[in-house]
Amino acid sequence: MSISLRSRRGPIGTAWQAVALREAAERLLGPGRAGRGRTDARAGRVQWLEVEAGAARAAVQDPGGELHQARFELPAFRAGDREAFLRIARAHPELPAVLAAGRYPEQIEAELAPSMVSLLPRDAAELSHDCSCLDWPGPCRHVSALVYVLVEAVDEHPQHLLTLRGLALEDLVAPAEGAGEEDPAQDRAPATDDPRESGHEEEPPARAPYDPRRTDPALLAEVVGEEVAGIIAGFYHRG
Amino acid sequence: MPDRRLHLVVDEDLGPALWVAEQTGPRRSRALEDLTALREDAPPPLAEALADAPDRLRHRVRVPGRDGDRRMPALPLSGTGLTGLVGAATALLEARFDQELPDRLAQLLAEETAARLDEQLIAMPNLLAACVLDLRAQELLAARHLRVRAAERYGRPILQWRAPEPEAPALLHALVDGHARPAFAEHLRRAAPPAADPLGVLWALADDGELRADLPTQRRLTTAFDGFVDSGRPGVKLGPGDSELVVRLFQPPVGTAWPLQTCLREDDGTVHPVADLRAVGDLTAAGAAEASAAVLRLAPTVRGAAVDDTGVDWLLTTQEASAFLTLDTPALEQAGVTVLLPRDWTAQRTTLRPQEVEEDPGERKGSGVGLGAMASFRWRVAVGDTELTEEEMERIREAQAELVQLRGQWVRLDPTTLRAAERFLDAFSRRTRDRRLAGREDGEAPAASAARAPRAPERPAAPELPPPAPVPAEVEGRAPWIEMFSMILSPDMADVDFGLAALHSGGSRGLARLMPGAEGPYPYPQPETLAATLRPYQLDGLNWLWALDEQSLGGILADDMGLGKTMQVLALLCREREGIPLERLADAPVTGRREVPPAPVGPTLLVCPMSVVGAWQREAERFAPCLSVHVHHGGDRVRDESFVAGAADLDLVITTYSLLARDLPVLQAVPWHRLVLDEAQHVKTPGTQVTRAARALQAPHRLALTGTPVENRLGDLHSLMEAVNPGLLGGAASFQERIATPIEEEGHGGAISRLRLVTSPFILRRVKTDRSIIADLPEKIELHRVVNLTPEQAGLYEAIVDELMAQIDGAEQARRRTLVVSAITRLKQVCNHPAHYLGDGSPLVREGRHRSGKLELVDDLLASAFERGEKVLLFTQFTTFGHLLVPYWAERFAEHGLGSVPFLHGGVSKRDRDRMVEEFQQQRDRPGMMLLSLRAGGTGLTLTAANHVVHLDRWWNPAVENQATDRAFRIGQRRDVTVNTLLSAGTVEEKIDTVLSDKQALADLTVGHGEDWLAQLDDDRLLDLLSLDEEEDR
Repeated sequence: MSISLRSRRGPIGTAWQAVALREAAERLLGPGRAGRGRTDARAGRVQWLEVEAGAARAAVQDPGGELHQARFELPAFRAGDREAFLRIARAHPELPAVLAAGRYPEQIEAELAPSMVSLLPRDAAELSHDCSCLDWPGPCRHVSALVYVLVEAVDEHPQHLLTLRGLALEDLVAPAEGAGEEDPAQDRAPATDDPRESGHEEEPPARAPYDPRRTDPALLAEVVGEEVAGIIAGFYHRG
Repeated sequence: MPDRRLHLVVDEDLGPALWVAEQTGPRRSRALEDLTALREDAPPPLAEALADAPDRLRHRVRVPGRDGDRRMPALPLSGTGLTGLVGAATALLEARFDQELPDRLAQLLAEETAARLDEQLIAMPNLLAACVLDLRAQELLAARHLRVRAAERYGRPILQWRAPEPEAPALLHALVDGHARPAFAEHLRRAAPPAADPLGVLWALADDGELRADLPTQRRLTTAFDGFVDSGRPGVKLGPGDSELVVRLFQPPVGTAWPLQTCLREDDGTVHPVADLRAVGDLTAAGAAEASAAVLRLAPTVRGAAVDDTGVDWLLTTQEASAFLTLDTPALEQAGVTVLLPRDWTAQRTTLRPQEVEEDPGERKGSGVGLGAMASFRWRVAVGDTELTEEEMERIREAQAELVQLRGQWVRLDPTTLRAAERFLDAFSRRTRDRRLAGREDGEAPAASAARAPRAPERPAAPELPPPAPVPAEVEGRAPWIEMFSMILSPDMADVDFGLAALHSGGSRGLARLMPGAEGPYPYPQPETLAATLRPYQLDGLNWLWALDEQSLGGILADDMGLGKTMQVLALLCREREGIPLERLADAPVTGRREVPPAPVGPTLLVCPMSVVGAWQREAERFAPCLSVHVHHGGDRVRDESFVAGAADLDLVITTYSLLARDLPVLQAVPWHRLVLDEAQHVKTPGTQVTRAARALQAPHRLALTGTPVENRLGDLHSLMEAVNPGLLGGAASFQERIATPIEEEGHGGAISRLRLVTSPFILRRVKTDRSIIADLPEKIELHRVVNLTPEQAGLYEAIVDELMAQIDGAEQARRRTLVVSAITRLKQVCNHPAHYLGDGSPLVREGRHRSGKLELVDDLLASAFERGEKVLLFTQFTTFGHLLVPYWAERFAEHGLGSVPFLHGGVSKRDRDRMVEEFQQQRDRPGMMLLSLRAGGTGLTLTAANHVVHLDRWWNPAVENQATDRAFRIGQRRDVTVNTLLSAGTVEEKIDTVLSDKQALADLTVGHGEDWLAQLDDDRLLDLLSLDEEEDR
């Protein structure tokens, strides 16, 4: 299982946010390593990529077959930056959908600029890296390969930038007031006075109570195997 | 002893941890570095909870203080260590407060006050909060409302039990994990150990077992556990992948903003906006965003649209909504997204309605006659049922959008028909204008005849054409009929939908009178020389024939068999000779009505099948004795110039189709006044000698008679029309391509309406089942009788199917077709009778037992009819079968005094035919039967003495079968007629009948194409149709 890049030649990543990320990262990598990383990435040496808050991680295979755990860090927002970002993001209710559709509007960055906040690396100094290989202090070719796979991922899925910054799409939606949990009796219909098609609108579904006996082990079996899934489901069904 | 304050904090690095502040003096305290003293002094539950803890506290937690963070020595707590400590604190509080514990805790927490556990120990508010969370954690465990997450601690993959809400306090997650682990371990001890747990999931859940999972696997584990836990709540959808995505467009509640909602359809079919689902927590924000994003990806129009404050729905402008409907909807639907439009919202077709058609008065100089005559047309545009005003039409054009507001309603226009209508009107006004500019129009002021475009200022004729006027809602102009018709049928107008029913005022003269919705032909009285009283519909038919005749237009009289087409033609011949004297016109002078003086008229040539020559001759003698009639038939017929000379003195010359081709030179030499083609389906096949001869024969008046104008294909209609009104429908190939194929294959409404508009003046068809035409005809009862095959038949049948399937395997198309058609013929023979198929002369009944289910049923049917003194007509398409049946029945029913059984087939001479018919028709109330071959008996015979019809085998062409049936069911019939169609159960006969009955609704326009279509089927469907379905009782 390895990741193959869509880009076969030329610069990797075409969307503006991917270009911005790549340019920032290339300043960190330097031209030589960047070239080697691009070659490795295109050769499918990156086995997997995981993006989490503050870091992207990947397993990268050496030509010799050895696997290295590479890591590329873009720190998650600190509280202040997070608030500044959310304030602007929440003023754009369409942002989650637009991000999910693969676009990160430059306008958001423009609005963020006065607060000195950006989803993208503001400079190379914001970036750091690590790898399990011996090429210390790096950045090594593994990190470099990871970077290009990440750039292409961000090209298509800009919400990876959110993840790196410690945010989820959820966070971009202002919490609804009174949306408590676990209370099926509570009337959850939003108090919107919807003028369209009144009477035609179906009632929003009341949230059904959780019942552990309904849990479906088939959903686990794919990953853990049927037998193990059965044992786990046995635990839940006892509830 | 000093007070000791117990703090439970959650450190960023360390997780939950306990640190203890010991009072060392007033307002002074220090953090304990060692737990030994505390453990010794603590009450038993607490001492027990701390039993396993190390003495020295080597970890440090960050504690915010007045002068910045301080680092306190602390005991990290996890698993049972954590739950034990919190449990001990809870136990001590419970001992103190008893029943009041929950209330007191709530109060303490609200006031952020510490609580004393004993004389020495004080639980700080953070520990009290932990006690509350601990209760919650235990509830969650009891309810098994637990999530599991794969994570890494110190680079080592682990599984964590967690509270269901991701945003729950970290301490709650830790407490849940602390309680769930031993509970799961206990469960695991009782469960049978699994054969394999490659990831080590079970022990990672029960204990600190190693989880063997790299990062992607960890993610998959977390996702799988999330899905598993979420499946415990019905209706919860994490993402749109689980539900069907629906996009819903609403009409603007006010103004012109069209709400477009992203929705999901749940399994139960209900549709909910994702914004609502997100609001109640049934959909994560990410799920909602993903659903909305899917719409954005598929619908480019929406990307530029304004988002409403939900962030997942949009407000479209009218232009955007139009573009969404045209451009995006197909892509969405192709991707499996349902697009819901406002209720009852289908695209409204634009129709062009002929508002007024009027032919110019014939006296005008330069105005032609018939198809060349000038007529003025006024067209009006309608959307759905709404006729547009100029202003509305203007608005539609300006909006350039599919959505317009008409009379307060938003209407979605069907762009194809709208554009087609505009194109038509544009072409129409251009042509009528061209004519004016070219000066071909004479004697009339240009302003009155030009296309009337009310908004466009009239201009004097300029050297260059005026710019194309905007297409108004109503256009008027003049053109010759033939040009109008060719425009209507031209391929450019393929999508124009003509609304015929809405013709407001038809013309009062010429062809305009015959257009749909017009007044119809002048109602003259019937001719006096006709020795019969025409029925009202026959008089209508005569007047229609007369109206066409006056304008030298040809027509197709396509009345159902038995309605008296012969009589109407004879009446026409009578009228043109006696004229219409002034005194017989109605009192009030009406435009165009005029006296017609008696005048000598040239001869009419009538061509018909041989079988009905006698009938024509007899009816002419009887009803139109004033006509001098000659039959051009037989070996001794006159073929030289004396025929030409003699014909001039005749009124009606009757001949047959075969002689039409053979004697064409001599027939062409006669200046015929009229050519009548009876049973005109004989000239339906282009290129045959007969058809060529019929078209080659010159006659100013032409008429076709047929019971089924579209017997097989619309191509036949074209062929007939070509014989009577050459050129009206254009060339055969283009007609097939533009009109026939769209109708036959797609049921194209536009093509049907165009064809009807053009042909309706020239075709008159009345059907017998229309009770307004004939009130005195008895009922026709149609029965499909399913008979079982005998075992002998079934064996033969299956052998034929097996053989066929083996032969066609890999056969090329032409050979395949031959094989299939011949196999079907053999199958039908088997269904009829084994002896028919085998052709071995074996007896039809063997030792008193029937060999054919069909014959058995027919014998019964005949017997019971004969008992009642009734007569039966039996049709087969196989002459050989008939020859088997005749001697058999003659013998079997000898007792009924039948004598021989008459068998009318292609080989019977005309004289014998006439004799058979005559004998059959006599003695009405006596038993009788006649066997007919379907081809020979199809036309022109009157056999109303029978009131039973049996179709022994199927022709699979309803038109042909109905025509056969109508031998009995026609005027003169006094009793109800029962039509028995025999079908062998489980065989191709029954199955094709099912296929055909589905098509019956279309039979007025199109009928199955014989058996050829069967050969086109793929092997599986063919086998399906042909193979014998076993019935349980056989």
